[in-house]
Amino acid sequence: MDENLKNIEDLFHYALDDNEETARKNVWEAVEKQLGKDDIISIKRKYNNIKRIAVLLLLLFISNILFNVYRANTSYSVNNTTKKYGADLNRSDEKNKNINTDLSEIIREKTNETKNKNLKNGINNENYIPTTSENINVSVTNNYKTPNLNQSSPVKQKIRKEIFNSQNDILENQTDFGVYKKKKYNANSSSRVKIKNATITEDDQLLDDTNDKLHQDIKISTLKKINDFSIENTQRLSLVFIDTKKLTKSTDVTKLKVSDTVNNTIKIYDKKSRKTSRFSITPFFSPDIAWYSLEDDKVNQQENASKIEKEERQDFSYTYGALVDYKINNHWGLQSGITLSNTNIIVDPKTIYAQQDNTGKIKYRINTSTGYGYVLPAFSSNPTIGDSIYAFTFSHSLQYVCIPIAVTYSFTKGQFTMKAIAGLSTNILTKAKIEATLENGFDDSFETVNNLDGLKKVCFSGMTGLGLGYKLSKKTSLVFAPNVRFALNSITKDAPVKSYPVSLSLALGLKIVL
Amino acid sequence: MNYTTSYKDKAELLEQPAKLIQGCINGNRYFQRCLYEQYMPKMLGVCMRYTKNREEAEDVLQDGFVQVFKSLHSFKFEGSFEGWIRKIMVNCAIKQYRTKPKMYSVVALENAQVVDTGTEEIMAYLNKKELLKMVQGLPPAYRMIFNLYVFEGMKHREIAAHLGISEGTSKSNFFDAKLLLRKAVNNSLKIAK
Repeated sequence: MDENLKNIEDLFHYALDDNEETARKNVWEAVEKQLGKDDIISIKRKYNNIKRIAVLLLLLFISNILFNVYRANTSYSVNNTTKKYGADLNRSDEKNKNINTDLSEIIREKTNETKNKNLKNGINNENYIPTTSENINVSVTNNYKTPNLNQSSPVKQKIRKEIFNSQNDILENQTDFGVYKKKKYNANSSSRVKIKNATITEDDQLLDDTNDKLHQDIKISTLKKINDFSIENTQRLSLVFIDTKKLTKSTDVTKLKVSDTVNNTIKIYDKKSRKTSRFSITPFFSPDIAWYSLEDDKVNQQENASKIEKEERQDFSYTYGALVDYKINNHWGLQSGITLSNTNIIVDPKTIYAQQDNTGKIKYRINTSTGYGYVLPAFSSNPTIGDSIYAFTFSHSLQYVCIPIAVTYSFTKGQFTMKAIAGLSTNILTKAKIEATLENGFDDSFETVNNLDGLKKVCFSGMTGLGLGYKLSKKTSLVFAPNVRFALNSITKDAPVKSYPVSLSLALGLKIVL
Repeated sequence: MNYTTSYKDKAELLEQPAKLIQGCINGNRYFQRCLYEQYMPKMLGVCMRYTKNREEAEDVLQDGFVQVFKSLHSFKFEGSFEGWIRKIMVNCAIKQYRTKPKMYSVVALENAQVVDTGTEEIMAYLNKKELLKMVQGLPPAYRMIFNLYVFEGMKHREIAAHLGISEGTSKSNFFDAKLLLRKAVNNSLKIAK
């Protein structure tokens, strides 16, 4: 054999290495067209990001507006309360005027009564310091604005004093009026009211269920939202006269402590049983609209992303699980839990080819947006590389266990609760499956691949959404929560394409306060 | 997209590859077309060897240039730009081979005969087109392995990794490809003489 022909590769290398050919014009046109398409896709992707940001901003904006509306309503209530004390406010309505008048009359009446008593007892009127709650130690937390009280009115000064400077003043005479006013004033803005060292001389039945004229105005129900209400060392306030049943029924007081009264006994009414827990659990089910955003893998250029994208369409997908909410305060909270997400995709019929798998065996390879798998049907158990087979039904499904952690912002309006959610989710792959029906004359073969290659075991996704709750009872609410989940990293690795799952969930659940 | 450019003179533009590349990265079609026209003949020559016919080669060339323009930002101006483009073309050819492998008939190698002829003498009788046809006539797997070994200078281990086959298969296929080519050359020489 000739030496040159033995090394025939050199002959071809020498002849063809610098070979040049000219392509037809339509090749450049096709390249240009493809580049144009890619430009459009990249613009679309850019817009997708902008859309995501816009949705987030919209959510924040809506939350902000709703919060402001809620806050404005709250401020209005506080302002109304302030008006009751004769505050110098611009706005007033007939109702408030009437209340203000009633209260002023009561104050005047009470002050005069005390003055007359003092006169009888020989106390100089000029040195008299108006009573009410100067001898009531009231500690208030979370209160809003200081009422803008008119300094010229002695009665109003007195009110101001009772609110802010009552720590060290202890007088003989005491009416319940100040106590009542404290409660009323703090009704909308405090979570804790403490009455200490109060000496009641009149209207000992402060908290009693009496029906006299004065007490018709004094409604314990104004104590709503006060979590901790305690009365201590009120010498003249006998336990007998404290209608604790009414108090606990008519208020949201979670802890009521009455001590050192006239009987020198201590009673603690702990309403822990009525205390609303910070934790709640929401079992839910959600049908999902799921799809995969695909990108070509530049390293493993085995399949075209746009081609796979065209071949695949979403099937019924769903998520179910339980979410646990922890309420940090009235608005903010944390959400976590565990969910099981199933995504199913149907693929158009296509031809698959035999290739060597990772173990060196030759099998038919199926490429999907979520990795790849190999099948070896019984009717073609010994294929050679390049053999093809037609798969006329074809689907793949993924199952993830998701552990979300999210921040929630919620507010309540009547029976309804609105919630905005944003957070992250860790997704752990539990099942990946391909099902295909392979054509074999009249005897088709159904094949299942339970181990998809090219998938990451763990991936992360972002989530954002809204929640609308309707209160069914004190502890249960019906929740509807549409939310969007989008992958933060590709779920595939060393696969034909990079895959980023996106899903829109419409969750329906029942929230149970623990 | 901006189609106008101050670089009206194509020759001037081609002398400044960095600016040409930058223009392509910016998506300027004129620059992209200049680059395409500059490298298209050589790259089609490469693609022709890896495919069965001109149509397939042009498909690979098209995919290759789209990939070139999409990945141009990752070129670091280290090494030959032509070599970089060529590598992309070869990758595209491999991709096409892997996704659409063609069935081929079993070739009887027993009848392959060899004649004593030198390279110059062969080249005197056979032109490049005929030799190219011989390579294109090889079964896809043989053609791919022959090309990667002879023209890209890859080792059998690398070829095996690229094509997802064993090293032994690569060696065996290369040997068979050479036998087929020898037979084809001999037949052509007989006819030519």
